[in-house]
Amino acid sequence: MTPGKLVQLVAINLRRDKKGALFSAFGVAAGIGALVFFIALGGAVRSLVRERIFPVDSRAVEVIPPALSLGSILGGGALDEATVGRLAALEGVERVYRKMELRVPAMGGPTDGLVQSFRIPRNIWLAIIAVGVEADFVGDDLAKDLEFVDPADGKPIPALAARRLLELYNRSFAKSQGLTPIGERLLLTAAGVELISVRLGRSMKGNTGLLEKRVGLSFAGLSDRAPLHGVLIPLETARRINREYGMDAERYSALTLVAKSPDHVPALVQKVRQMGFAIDDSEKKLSESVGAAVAVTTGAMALLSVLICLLAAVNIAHALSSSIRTRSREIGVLRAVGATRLDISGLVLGEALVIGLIGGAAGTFGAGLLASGLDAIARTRVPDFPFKPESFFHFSPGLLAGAVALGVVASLLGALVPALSASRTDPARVLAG
Amino acid sequence: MIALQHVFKSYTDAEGEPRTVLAGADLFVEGGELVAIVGPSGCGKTTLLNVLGGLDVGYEGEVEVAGHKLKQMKDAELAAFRNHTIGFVFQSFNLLAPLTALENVMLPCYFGPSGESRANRLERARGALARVGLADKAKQRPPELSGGERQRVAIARALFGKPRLILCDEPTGNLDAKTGAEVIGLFVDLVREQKLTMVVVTHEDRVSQAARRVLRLRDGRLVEGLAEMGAAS
Repeated sequence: MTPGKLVQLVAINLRRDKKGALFSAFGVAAGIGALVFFIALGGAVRSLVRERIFPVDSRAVEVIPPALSLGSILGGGALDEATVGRLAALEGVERVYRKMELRVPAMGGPTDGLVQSFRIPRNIWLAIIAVGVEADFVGDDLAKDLEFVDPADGKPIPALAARRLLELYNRSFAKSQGLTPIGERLLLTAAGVELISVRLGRSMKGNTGLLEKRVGLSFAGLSDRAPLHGVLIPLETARRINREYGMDAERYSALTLVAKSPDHVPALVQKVRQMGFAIDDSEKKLSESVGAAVAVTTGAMALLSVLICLLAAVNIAHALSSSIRTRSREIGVLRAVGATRLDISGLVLGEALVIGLIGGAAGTFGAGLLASGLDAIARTRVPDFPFKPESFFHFSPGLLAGAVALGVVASLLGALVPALSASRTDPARVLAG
Repeated sequence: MIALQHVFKSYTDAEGEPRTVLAGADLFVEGGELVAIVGPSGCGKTTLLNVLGGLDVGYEGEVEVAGHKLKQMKDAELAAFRNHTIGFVFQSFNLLAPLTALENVMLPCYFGPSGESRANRLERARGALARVGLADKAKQRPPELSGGERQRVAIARALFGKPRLILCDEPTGNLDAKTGAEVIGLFVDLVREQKLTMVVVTHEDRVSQAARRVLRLRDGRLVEGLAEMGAAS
């Protein structure tokens, strides 16, 4: 039998029992719909956690001096240029980035520009935590047409803030304090403008006895690599100010190793620890924990959905078996006019394939529709909160295609036994009488 | 056309007892013959027909139909043989209710060779329906037809594939006397006009009276039964 003729016969059979076919397809749709819904939800939440809440570079290893060791007391375990060389020589290391904290106490407050442009209260003063990094480290996060280099003494220092900080400010702090939220695009229009005025040598307690000096921070962009509680400034600036105030300007506060691939990371971590250094993986661990919790929840829901698909397959098996029993004489007639056993199996599997396709496509479409509805409700009815995404669902083409394919597979699985049983129908027996 | 030699066929009945229905049956039929096979219910007539049509291959002995040795054929070959060479007519018509009369007639073409155009197939199917006097019922579905009309659609379906042999199992069993007589008349005409070979299994005298040869299935063997039938009638 040619595929075209098979399609015609399948269409005839499905038209005859539309209700049964639709009921079977509904079972598949329910399972596939639930599966797509939960996987899309889990995928979006996982992306949110990994990309926005705890942005973690899977190739990065954050090396910090050991908390306390005999080596550190004796001057060992220091993150100096020699250490940079040793770490860069490790197998699997692509790049080593230096980080040096500004070791001078500093307090920062808004400049007139910030107060006027973004309606920030004038009297906010906070301790400034600045980390000096190399220009490559901030990469594309640096605002257009700006340079990330140490400016001459007295000139504003380019600084990048954490993107998460802006999110927390807009969705939580600004709202609770009745301040105007600041959009990222709007903020970027202020690139190169001095927004923060810093008083070096002054802490939250007041005078530190150090020389007090005013310097400005110009906004240079937003970066996921910036610490939540501070800013990134040029490494040479941090080194210069530390030296100026007589602080340690040689040893780094941290080194970021970038591995050639995520597979190299476990071995690198082990080697770094053997060298006597510590690894700061608190954010990574948090991200992994939240990611794992999301993955487990998604997995449980997906498993439940697969069970629904299996139930749908059992339902299809039952429905087709019953249909085949009813149509046994008809199968006998088809055999009498020239159908082979394979033709009969093909006919039953063809029906199942169409049911699976319809069920899979309907379930996927239904999940998409439900997700759109929930997103619309979230946009209009759910109050803003930090990191609230535009959509709570991520439908990838692979997920959509895989879901429809799974619907077909579940349906075909359910049809296997009925197809085999139909092909074994003895025409001589069923046509008698 | 048919050479059936020393055929044995047994099965286990509902009580679990082994039962032999064909016990060394022999049958030789020339082309263009209308042969009736008679015998009481349950004597094995339908089994014999199924063996001849390649629907039942669980027997011992040799069966050759239109040059095909059925025992040696695989499932696909037997299916093709039934599609090209044999036409079946059953007592209970066995039409597919969702299909129109025309679609029922064209059913064999779903499983036949794909070379013929749809227009040709339609023309042949309409011709077969016209031959059995149902040209105007092409779009009717089986539930909308009378018993006689249904059986004529079944005959048109059997004729559609231009078979060399038509096997009929109690073709008038579900028809009233007048309609049955019309169907028998149609069989006689078809054998005469199209030189078809027709084997009709029946337990009705009126069918056997129209046949050129009548064979009786007795104790699993076929015997010439004209004299007995004549005596019975």
